[in-house]
Amino acid sequence: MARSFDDTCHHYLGLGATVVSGPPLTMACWFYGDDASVGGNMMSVTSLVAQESHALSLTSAAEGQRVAASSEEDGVWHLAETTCPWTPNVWSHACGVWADDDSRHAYLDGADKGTNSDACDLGWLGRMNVGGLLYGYGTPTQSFSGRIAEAAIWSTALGDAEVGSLAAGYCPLLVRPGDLVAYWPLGGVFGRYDLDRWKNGYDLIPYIVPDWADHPPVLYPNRPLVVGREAAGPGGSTAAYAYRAVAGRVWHTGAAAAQHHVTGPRAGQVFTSGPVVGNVYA
Amino acid sequence: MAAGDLLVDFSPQCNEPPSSGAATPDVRSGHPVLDFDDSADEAARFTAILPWHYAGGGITVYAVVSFTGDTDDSHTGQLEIAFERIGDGQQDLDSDGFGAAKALTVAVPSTCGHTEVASVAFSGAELDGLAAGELFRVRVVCDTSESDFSGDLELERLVLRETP
Repeated sequence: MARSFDDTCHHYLGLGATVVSGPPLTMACWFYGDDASVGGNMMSVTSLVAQESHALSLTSAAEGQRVAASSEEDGVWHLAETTCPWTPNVWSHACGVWADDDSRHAYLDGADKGTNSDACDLGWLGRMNVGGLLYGYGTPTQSFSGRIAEAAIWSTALGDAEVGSLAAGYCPLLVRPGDLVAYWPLGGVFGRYDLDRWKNGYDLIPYIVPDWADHPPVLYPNRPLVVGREAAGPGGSTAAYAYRAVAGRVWHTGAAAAQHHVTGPRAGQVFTSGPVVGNVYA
Repeated sequence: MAAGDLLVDFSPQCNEPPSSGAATPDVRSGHPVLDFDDSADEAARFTAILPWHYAGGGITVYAVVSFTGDTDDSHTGQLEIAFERIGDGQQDLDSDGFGAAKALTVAVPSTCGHTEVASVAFSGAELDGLAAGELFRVRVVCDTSESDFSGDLELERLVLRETP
């Protein structure tokens, strides 16, 4: 499940907190824009008292239909835009990298990098936004139309290769985790929650509640496969070694006569005769 | 009794990347891989418990590798493999304590997209004192000074087996 935002309803997730104080920073998410005439703001950090922000947005068809990484100072926008347009009604990956106050980059699907180097020194950024732009309180502007998932923010400028890893489908937890500040899957294997699944607890609040929709395919962290074995087989013989059978069949190249059928939570077939010299399959 | 047993199988999504010089997670035709550059040493790290049925016979590390573009089968890539015993009160988590690395050399397949499986055996004494049931890390570094492949070396799997 991803969050599905309707711009006409001003669907919006937000949090009053300084998630990052300024560059270097990186914002990234998967998006499924469903209306090229709208575009809208996907992720941003904003001031509570001034029109200042760093924002990852889509521009509308009338504005070139690009992914934009922008910095806004006193209402003046400085945009890095991708070199190619985004496509409506397909999942794509967007990333904005703010390397410094005068260096920002926008990426579409890990490529089409656009750069802007206008100097822009912002003040205190006390709000995190997803799906719309809100400076202090009230109704958000630049409301997004479409789906957003796997949003994340880092306190560092990710490199081109790392942005490429995210666009290849890797979960943000697998890319520079030491500098990851917050990760909001907004669905997927983590369930229908707006919680920060990283260590800082920057849970988003749905002020105007978006709907849920299908999630993009993502490569999540795996546990290693560790092969276990008990000291005694199901038959109770200490000479026989048995591999734990979990939802399947386990065997080795011993004589088939000594196979055991295991019932209950360890259901499966275990072949336990002779020394264990073969491969294990589970 | 346990010689030849599969112990642990690490996929690219098991990687715990270092803060700098990390191998790059990538996908090749839907297959998750870790990319190691040909121009700078990059690393990947994996953590697991060594299974209790490990009988102390040493560990052979297998790497399943491909290359992005190089098809010159006279070329090789060299991975440096090292173990770190974390165990029970053995290692300060605030510092790294990897033992001496051993070289695992992989030949470049002549067909682009084919994988090559190479291995290196560690004796029990070369495992930083690691014992059955203990937490450990294994580190993989691509040593570009000892490699001559071009493009990226792609690691598909790292597998530990009790040495047959």
